[in-house]
Amino acid sequence: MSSSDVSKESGPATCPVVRVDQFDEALRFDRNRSIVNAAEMFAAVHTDPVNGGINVREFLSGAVPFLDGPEHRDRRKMLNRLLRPDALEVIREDMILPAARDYLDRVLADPSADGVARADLVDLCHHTFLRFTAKLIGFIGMDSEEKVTRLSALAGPISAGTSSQFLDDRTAINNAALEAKAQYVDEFFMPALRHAKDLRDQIEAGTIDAADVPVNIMSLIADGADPGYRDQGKSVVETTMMFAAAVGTSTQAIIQTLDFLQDWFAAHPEDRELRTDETFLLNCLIETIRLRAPFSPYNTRMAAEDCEVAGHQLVAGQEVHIERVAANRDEEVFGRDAGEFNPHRADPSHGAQRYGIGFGSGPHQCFGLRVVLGLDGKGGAHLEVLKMLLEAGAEPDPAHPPVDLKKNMDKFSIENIPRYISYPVMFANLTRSA
Amino acid sequence: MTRVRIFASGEMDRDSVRRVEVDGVALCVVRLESGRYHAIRDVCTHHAIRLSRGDLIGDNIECPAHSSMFNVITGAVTGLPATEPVQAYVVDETDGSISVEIPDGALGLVEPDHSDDDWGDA
Repeated sequence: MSSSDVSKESGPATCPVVRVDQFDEALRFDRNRSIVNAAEMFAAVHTDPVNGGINVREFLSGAVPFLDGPEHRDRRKMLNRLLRPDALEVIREDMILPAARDYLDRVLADPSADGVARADLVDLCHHTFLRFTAKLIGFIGMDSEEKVTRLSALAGPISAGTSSQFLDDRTAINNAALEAKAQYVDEFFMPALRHAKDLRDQIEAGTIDAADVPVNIMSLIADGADPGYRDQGKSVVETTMMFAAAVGTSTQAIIQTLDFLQDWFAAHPEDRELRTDETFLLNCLIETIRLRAPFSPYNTRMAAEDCEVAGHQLVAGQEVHIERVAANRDEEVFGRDAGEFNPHRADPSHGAQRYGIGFGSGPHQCFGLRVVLGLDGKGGAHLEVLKMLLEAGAEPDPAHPPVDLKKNMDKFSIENIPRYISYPVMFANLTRSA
Repeated sequence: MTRVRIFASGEMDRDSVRRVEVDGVALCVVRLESGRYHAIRDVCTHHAIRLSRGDLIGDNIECPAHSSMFNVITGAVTGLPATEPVQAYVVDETDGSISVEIPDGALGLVEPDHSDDDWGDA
C-alpha cells in the first residue's frame, strides 16, 4: 500500500500516519466528510502540547480553513461574495496590479551604482499581496507606505506562528508571533473594526447608502454575518489566517515560476520569445502550482470517526497527510514527465485539471483560486504580476543567491519545496536598453 | 422528450431560485428579474452541490460551495472552478402553468447530491 507509512506515529492513539500520495486517493480523502481539517492535528498538539496549543488557540481555531461540515459550508458561501466577478476586477485592477507597478517603478527608477536596477522579489511580492490582503480584510489607511511597512513587519511573524510546526525553534517563533499579534490587534484590527461598525451604524441611520460601502471581511465581522464572528478572538484569527494563506502562497507561486523558467529557458532557448506570452506564462504558473503548491510538504487532515477511505481503514483521531506535491506527479494522470516542469504539457487524463490538486479539492479547495486563475481560467492577477516582472527583464541576481527558509526537513518526502525568504533579482532589460 | 408541469405561473417571485424534483431529475428553477423562467440541472459539475442553494447574480447562479458560476439560460460555465457546463432545460409558460421539457432518458435516474454528506467524486 503505497500511501501508508508506519514509520511515523500520531495521537491520540498510536496509529500510523496515513500518507496519501496518489492522485485518485487524494481526491477521495479530500472529499470524504469523515476526513476533517482539525486545527489540533495541523498544529501537531500531540507532539508539542504547549506550542501546539498556542497555535490552535491564537492562530488557527475559528478560521474558515479549520471549520468543517455545515459551519464551514455556510462560512464559505458567505465569504464567496468577496470574490464575485466585479470584486475580482477590483482586486486585479485596483489592488494588486497598482501595488506591484508602484513598487516596480520605484525599483526601476533607482538603479544601483552599476546602472542595474535590483530588487528582492520576496519583498516586492509581499508588499503587493499584503496591500491586497489588507484591503480584502478592510484595514484603513493602507495607502500609506508607512502603514504597509508596519503591517508587513507584523504579518511575517504571525504567518510563521500560524505554521510553526513545520519550522525550527518553534518556541521562539511562537513567542515572536504572539507579540506581533498583540500589536496587530491594537494597531490594525481594532481600528478597522471600529471603522466598519461606524459605517454600519451610518447605513442603519440612513446617512449613507449601503451600496457605497465596500464589502470586506471587517464589514462582515461588524455585521455579524457569520455566527463565528460573534467571538472577537476568532474573528482576529480569520484575518491573520488571510495573511498566511494569501501573501505567502502568492509570493512563492510567482517567484518559483520565475525560478523554474531560468532552467526552462536554458534548456529551451527557443521559448525565450514566449517570455511575455500570457498563455505560456499561465501554463508556467500552473505547472509551478502543480509541482509545488501548497508550498508545504503536505496538508494535515484527521479522521473524525472510524471510517474506510480509498481502501484505508482509519480510526477516529488518526492523522492523515495529503501529499499534494507527490500526488500531482502521478504519471498516469500527468504523463511520463509528471515530475518535471513542462509548460507545454498535454492536458492531463482522469478529468484532472492542469494544476491537479495544487489548490486542493473538496470542501477546502483554495478560496483564492479565481484570484490566481481568473474568472474564466485565462489568468488572474498573479499572471499579470509575473508578466510585468518578465517584461521588465527580471532574472536572478547571480551575485546574490536566493535564501530558503530553514525548515524541518524530516517532513519532506519528495524533495525540498523551497520557501524563499529572499530572492534577489536584477532587471536586465533596463541595463540592455540603457 | 417529456413536458412536465412544475408549478403555476406567478408562484415564484422574480429574482428567486427554487429546487424542483421531477421523477429523479433535480432542477434548479430560476425566475429572473425580467419575469422569465429558466431551469438547469441542480447539480454543480464541479462537486455535485445543489446550485439551488446558491445566489442568483443577474443571469448567473453561484454555487454555494466554491462559487462556480453558470448562466441559467444556457448552462454555460461563467466562473471557475467548474469547467463543464450544466444541462439547461427548455421552460415553457402557457395557460398559467410553468412546464419543463425533460429528455426521456433522464427520467427515473437518481441525481448525485453531495450537499449534505460527503463531496463525492463528481
